Amino acid sequence: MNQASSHNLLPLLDLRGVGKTFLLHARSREPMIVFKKLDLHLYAGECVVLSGASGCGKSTLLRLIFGNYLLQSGAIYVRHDGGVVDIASSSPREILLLRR
Amino acid sequence: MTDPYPSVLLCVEELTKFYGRRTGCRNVSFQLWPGEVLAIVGESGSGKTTLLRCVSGLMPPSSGSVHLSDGSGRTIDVLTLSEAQRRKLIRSDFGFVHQDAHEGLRMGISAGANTGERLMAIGVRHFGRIRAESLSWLERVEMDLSRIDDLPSAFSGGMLQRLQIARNLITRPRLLFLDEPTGGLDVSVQARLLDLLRELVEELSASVILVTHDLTVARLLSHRLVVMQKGEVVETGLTDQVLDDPQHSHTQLLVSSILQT
Repeated sequence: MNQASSHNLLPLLDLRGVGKTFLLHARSREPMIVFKKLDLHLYAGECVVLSGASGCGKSTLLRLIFGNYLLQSGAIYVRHDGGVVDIASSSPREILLLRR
Repeated sequence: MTDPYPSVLLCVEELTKFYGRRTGCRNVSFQLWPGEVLAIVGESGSGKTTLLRCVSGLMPPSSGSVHLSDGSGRTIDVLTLSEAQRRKLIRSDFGFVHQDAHEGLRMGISAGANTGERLMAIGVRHFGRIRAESLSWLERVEMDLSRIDDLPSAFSGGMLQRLQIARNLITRPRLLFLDEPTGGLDVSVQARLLDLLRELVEELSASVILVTHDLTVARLLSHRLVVMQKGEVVETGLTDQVLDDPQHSHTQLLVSSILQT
């Protein structure tokens, strides 16, 4: 197997142990846990549907992947420009470049 | 990751300004890249305008440093420039749009002279070229060209801001400072002016530092956000991230204040 084809077998998007908690400042920083350890692997060309009851975290997950929300733990790896970028540890500027 | 602008345009470090015993801003540091729009938000009196005036060389800070890349690999220490060098920088590389247009315009000379004056300040002497450039920029900011020889004192608030923008952009500055550029204007004028600013800034690939208390303006125009409280930075990050998922209680208060109105 050559390097290019093995690269294509890697997920395009790889969420590992993602944790997200909102702190409700109006309620004395009461924590609201949305995800504890969420894993998701998405390969190029795949279509995944996020389905669930209202308030279960579907949009939160999308926003985390887009870099719109900060995550508290875990990593979100995205294949980009022949390498892999972790959105969780990227600077705002790197996320902007990635979005483009 | 391929970065079209690998070098920083502006680097502000530990900038502090005291007014006697009172704090204007304290220990503010940030960097700005070419083509980037950075918004500084906070309540009235949080130190936004003080910071902007110190960074732009309009007011000396008590301590700290401001370094600007000259585009050829060297950096300029903005705060140690001679008076002549500082004035030259403000007239060419920097543009400053004030909230109060009277501060940014000369009210005793015509609109065309206001735009032409800045061109003359960078050495343009040909009257025909100055007139043509002025007309072109007044058109770009959507002003009625028949008003070119009128005094700004006869203009509405929205027109004054348009004229200020034309006066600043005519020399194609690399860095534009906007201090509440749409403050005091009615909502429809604000919306059009914001659209215009966004288009022009993108076209010129200028970097912008925008001061506003209006988070909607910040969201519309900026890539990154700095939140200030009592002269200090309490949160920074991507604009949508800070506004949609604020981490600091003061930012959350600011964001929730919008939702309640």
